[in-house]
Amino acid sequence: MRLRLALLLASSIEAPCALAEPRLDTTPAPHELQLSALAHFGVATTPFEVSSLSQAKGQAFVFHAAARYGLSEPLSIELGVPWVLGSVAQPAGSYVDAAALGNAELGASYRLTLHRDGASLVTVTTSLNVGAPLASHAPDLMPNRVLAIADGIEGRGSPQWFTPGALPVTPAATVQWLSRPWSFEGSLRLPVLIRVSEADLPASTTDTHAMAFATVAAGEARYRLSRRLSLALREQLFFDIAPFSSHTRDISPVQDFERLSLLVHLGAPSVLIVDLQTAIVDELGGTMVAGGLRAAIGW
Amino acid sequence: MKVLVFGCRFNATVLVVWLALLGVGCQRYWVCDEPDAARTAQLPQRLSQTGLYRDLATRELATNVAAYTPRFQLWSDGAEKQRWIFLPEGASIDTSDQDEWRFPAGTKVWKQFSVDGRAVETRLLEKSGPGDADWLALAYVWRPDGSEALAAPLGAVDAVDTDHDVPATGECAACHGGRRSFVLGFSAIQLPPTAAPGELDLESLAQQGWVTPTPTSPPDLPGSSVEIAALGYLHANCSHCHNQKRPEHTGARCFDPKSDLDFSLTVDSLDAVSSTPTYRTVVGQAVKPGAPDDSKLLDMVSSRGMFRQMPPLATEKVDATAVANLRSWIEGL
Repeated sequence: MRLRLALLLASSIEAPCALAEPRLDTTPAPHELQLSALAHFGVATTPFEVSSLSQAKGQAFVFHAAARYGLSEPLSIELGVPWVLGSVAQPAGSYVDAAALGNAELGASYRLTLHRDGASLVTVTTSLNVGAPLASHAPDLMPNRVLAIADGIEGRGSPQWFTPGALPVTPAATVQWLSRPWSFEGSLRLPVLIRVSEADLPASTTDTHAMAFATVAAGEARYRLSRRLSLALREQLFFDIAPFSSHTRDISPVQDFERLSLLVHLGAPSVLIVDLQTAIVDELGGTMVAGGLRAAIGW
Repeated sequence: MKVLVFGCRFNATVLVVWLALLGVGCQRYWVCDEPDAARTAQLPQRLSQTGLYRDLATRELATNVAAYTPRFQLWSDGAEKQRWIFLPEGASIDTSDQDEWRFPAGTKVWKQFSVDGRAVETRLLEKSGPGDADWLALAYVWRPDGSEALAAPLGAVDAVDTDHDVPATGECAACHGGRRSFVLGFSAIQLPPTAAPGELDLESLAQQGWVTPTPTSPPDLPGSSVEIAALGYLHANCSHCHNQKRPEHTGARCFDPKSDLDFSLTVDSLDAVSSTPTYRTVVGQAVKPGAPDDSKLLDMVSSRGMFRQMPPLATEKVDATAVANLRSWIEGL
């Protein structure tokens, strides 16, 4: 049994390889178990589809705990649970503290090596995650709103984590090209949300839908500055193709999201990442900024 | 859109302050507890059921409901406001403490907010028992056609297509919870010596037998018109939080400033402006005599944005008239 310890600052919001940093190094080997946790803190003002409360605003810690297990060389499974602790702004300007569980996810990923030589490596990872509709909700909508804030902190790009009343199914694919000192990654996730409950949303002020569909496309470039340091820049675009509830006001269906990261390599697979992430335009433009912590341990 | 009004500077401030206070375990003054939903549920779901109107369609008031207008008003971003009070038959307000009137069980107080002549929201306070804390609060948001107002315990943002925000039930205590009487704007200081026709003043209140004991006479406020306006504004807009007689409470801090500042006007401190709590606790501290631009009070009242505005709640626009008067007052100190 091998022991791996990684401390990571800030999170990647991707699933199922969210904690793969660098991805090639931390994909679990056969029969290896990786446990990980991440935390993000930020502020956000996000759309909230209740006509009398058309935005959720506040500060929140976003936590995510995950376990990954390598079944074989290309195949691994992952179980992840998000949790949010935050302060939700009330209409007149006070705040209420609230905590909420997100949707737990169980997923499997398959990694295929397309090219490998002494100088470069190209891989494709496909995955499918299925969530359990565990996200908190309540008649006062406080858990719903703190989850919406968490979704905003992650650039609206993880609805499968933060949408109450939903059973999420998320196929994803990631292509990575590693040619030191550079590494490039492109990913596409297609979260589908299937409604299993109204999540306490008031029928009089919310028009809910049976299913939602979104697309999250991301690209990341990383440069190895030295043996210990890397710099990464990530751009993510969220496309709200079919919303889970009708919009109560005119909002942009697209959301950009940028993240600048400084990676401190502590020895494979351990890495420390300092992130600053924000959205410059669209609904979250100027209203969100975040950073965070991540830690992982493996056997 | 409101979503976009906050700039990066706002976010950075929020981030740093929130992290710092959370990190050292401080109680954050802007956090309130959620109200007891079961208690709030005791209140009607429709304004027409609250006892304000005999006939809502004609706006005919019910028996024992009387209108009043306080001398000094809380700034509400320019919304027009109307207020009414109901006392149960035979009940009276205990005025033995002139600054903290105690209202009988069954008292109801309403305040209606209108924007551009159209009713947007009506708030209700109802005293459900004899204790000082036995108050229920709920806001009602008017239908666009004015046919009814419906309970909005979660509050509302930009209600009825205006820029008026309706507070959630839990926010009511942020202001009202700072005074033992809970009702703000209905007191010996606040009731006008002579009211508009059809409205309550101290004399008509006594004539109706609604106060025990009967106040001797309306208190005269000291100072010039500028001083009275300044002290009155600070009393109406600041003293519900900034006073030294806050009732004890448990739970979240909920806008308890925990400072020595006191902006109250109290009946026993009106012999001279220098006797008022504002002069004794604020002037020389948050107010620099003769230097309005160096006075934190004027800076906060002139600003909007979380952590750098006063009042901190229920306002997104600066009260320019009040700021001008406060500036004149500070310059003349």
